[in-house]
Amino acid sequence: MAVLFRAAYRLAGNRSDAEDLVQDTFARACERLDEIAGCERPDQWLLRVLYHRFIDTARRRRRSPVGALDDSAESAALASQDPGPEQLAERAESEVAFHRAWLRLETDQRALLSLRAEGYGMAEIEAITGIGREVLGARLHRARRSLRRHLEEDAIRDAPAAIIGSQR
Amino acid sequence: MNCQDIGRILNDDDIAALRPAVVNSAREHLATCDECAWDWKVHERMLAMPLPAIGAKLLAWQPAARAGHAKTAVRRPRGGSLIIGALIAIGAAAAMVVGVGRLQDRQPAELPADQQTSSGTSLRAEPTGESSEIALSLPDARDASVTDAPQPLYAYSFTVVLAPPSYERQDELTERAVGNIHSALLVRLRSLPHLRLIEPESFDPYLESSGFPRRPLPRGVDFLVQVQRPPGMEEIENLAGIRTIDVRVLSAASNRIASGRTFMDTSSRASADAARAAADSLFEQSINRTFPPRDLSRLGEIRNYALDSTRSEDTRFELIDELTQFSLRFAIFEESVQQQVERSIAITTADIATNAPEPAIRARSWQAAAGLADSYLVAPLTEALLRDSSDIVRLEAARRLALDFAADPAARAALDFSALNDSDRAVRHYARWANTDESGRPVLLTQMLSDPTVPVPERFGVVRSDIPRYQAYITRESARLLLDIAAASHADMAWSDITSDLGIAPPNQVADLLLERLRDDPDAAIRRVAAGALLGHQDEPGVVAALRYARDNDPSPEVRLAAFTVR
Repeated sequence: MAVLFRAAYRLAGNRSDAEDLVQDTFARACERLDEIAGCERPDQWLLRVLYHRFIDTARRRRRSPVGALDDSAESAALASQDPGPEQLAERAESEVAFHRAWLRLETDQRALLSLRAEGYGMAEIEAITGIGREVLGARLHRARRSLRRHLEEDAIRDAPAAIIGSQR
Repeated sequence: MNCQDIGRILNDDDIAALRPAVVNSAREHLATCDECAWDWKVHERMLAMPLPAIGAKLLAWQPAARAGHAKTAVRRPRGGSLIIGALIAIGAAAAMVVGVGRLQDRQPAELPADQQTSSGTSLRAEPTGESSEIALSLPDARDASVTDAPQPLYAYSFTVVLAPPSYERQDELTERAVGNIHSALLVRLRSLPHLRLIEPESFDPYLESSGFPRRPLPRGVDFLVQVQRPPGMEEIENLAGIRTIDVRVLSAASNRIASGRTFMDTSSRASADAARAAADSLFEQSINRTFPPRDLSRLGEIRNYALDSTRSEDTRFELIDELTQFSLRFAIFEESVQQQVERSIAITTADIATNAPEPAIRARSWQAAAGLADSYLVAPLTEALLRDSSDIVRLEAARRLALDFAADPAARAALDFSALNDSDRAVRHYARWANTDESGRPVLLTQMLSDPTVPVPERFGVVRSDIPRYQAYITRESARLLLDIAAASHADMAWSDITSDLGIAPPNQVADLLLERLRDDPDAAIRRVAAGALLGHQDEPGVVAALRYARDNDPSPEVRLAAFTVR
C-alpha cells in the first residue's frame, strides 16, 4: 500500500486525492481478484490501474488550461524538522517551488515521472503504461525537461518584480 | 560516458545503486555538459521529493484487493468442495443509500443540534410515513444574492438497507465474530436520527456459490460491507467495503458516496471489543463520514471559511479546491438534482470570487468553477472580466467565459470588449484568441508571431504564455516564423520549447518545412530544432530516413544527438 500511496501522491499532488486514488484502485482490484491472483507482479497490476485511473480522472476534470495558482500548502508542511529555522525556511521554499513545478507538469508527464521516481525502470513502466519503449524514453526525457522549464519559470516568477504587474 | 548514457541511466537505473566507476564516469560527463547536469539534478530532486506518510485512515483500510491478490492464489481451495471462496465471505452487511434526491416542498421540522452545521445552516427532517426523510432546502439561484446569509441546502431522502450476516462457511468463531460486528453496526445505524433503516431477513446480493462476490449489486445499492476470513485462520482477516459494481453508478460517481470510503482492514482478533471497534471504524468511515447531509452542509462551510480572511490563505485555497470536485460526490443522484447541486456550487463560487478581498482567492474561486456550464455564472464572470482590478482575476474570468460559455452572447460581448480594451496584454490576447473562430486562429497566430511591436526573441514567449493550446493552429507560415525566432534566440530554453511545440504541431503543416531545414539550413541550432521536432512526426514520409541521416552524418554533434532517438 505504501508504494501505491507514494505513487498516488506524486500523481495527485495532495493527500486527499492520493487517498481517493488508492481507494479507487483497490475498488477496481476487488472486482478483478482472479485476474490479480494470476498476476506475476500484482504491484504492477495495481500501479497500472492507478495510472489509468489518474489519467482518466484528470481528463474528466476538464481543468483550466493553466494550473493552480498555488498548490503549495501541503508541500510546505513537508520540510524536515532537523535544520535550523533559516535552513528550514529555505528548504521549505525550495520544496514548495519544486512541488509547484511538479504540479504544472502535463498529466501524462507527471504520471511517467511518478513511476520513475518510484524506482521503476523502462521495462516496468512500459508494462504499466502500455507505452512502447522507444516512445517512453523520449517522453521521460521531455518530462524531465518540462519539469526543469517549470522550475526555471517559477524561479523567474518568484523574483521580486511580479511579471503580471510589470507587463501592463 | 556520453549524453545517451546519462539519459539511459536516468530512464532506467537506480542512481543510488550505481557502481562507483559508473558514478565517476557520470560525474566527469556532468561536469562538461550543462544539459545532462540539469537533467541529473532534476532527477535527483524528483527522487528527493518529500512525501507524507500514509494517513492513519488509509492505513486502516486494508482492502479486500490485497487479500485478493496476495492470498487467493495461496489459499484458493484445491478441492471442489471448498469452491473459490478462499476468502470466505462470512458476513455481509449491505448498506443501501437510495440517493434519489427529492426536493422537499414541505415545511420540515428541525433536526437535533448535532445535525446542524457550523455555518449555521441546519438540516431539517420530517417523518414521512414509514421513512424519515432528511429534508434540505436549496435556494433558487435567481434569488441567490451574494449576502452573508447562510446558504440553504437541498432536500433529499435516504434509505439505508442493512443486510443481515450471511455465511458461506460456518464455524463457531466465525459466527460469533460476525455477529458481534453486525450487532455493533446495527446499534450505530439505529442510533442515526431520521434515517430509514431497513433490516430485511434475507438480503444476499453478492454472495454466490462460485466464491467471492462478482455479480453486480441490484440497482440502487451503493455499497456492501463485508467481513471476510480465510478458512483456518483465527483472526478476522479483512473488513472490507466493496463499492457497487453497478456500472450505471460507477461510471458517473466518484468514490465518496457511491463507493464510500469503505476500505479498511482491522486485522483484529475476533473478540467482542475488536469487533465493536471494527464496527465503529466501519461506521465512521463508510457511513457517517460520507452520509450526504454532512457533505451538503459542507458547501455552506466552504463558502463561509473561504470568505473569512482571518483564516490562512492555504486553508482557504484548500477549501476552494474542494469545490472543484464537490459535484462529483453527488453523481449518484438523478440528473436534475445533480444540476441543482451544481447550481449551489456555482453560487458559492461566484460569492467567493465576488467578495473575497484578495485577488488570488478570487482567481482561485473562478478556477473552482471550471466546467460548471451554469448560466448563472455568466453575469458575475462578465462583471469580473470587465471590472475586477486584478489582472489574474480578469484572466481567469476570461478563461471561464471562453471555455464554458463560448456560445453565450453576453460572454462573447465581454470578451470582445476585453480583447480591445483590457489594460493587461495577457487578458487582451486571451480574449481575442477565445473570440476568434477556428479558421481565424492560424491567421491570428501568424500575426502575433510577426508582431513588429514585440522584439523577435520575445514573440514566442508572448504566444506561449498567453495563448492556450496554440500548437494545434501552427501552419507552415507560423512554423517558419517560429524557426526564425529560434534562430534569433540565444536561449536554449526557447529552442527546447519551440522544438517541443513543433513536435506536436499538425504534421501536414510542418513536416516538409522541418525536413527542408534539417537537410539544408546552415544554422546548426535550426537543424537541431528541426531534428528534435521531427521526432514527433516519424510517421510522416521521409522523416525517419532524414533523421537517421542526420544522426549519422550531420557535422554538428548537437544535431546528431538531437536525432539520436530516431526509430
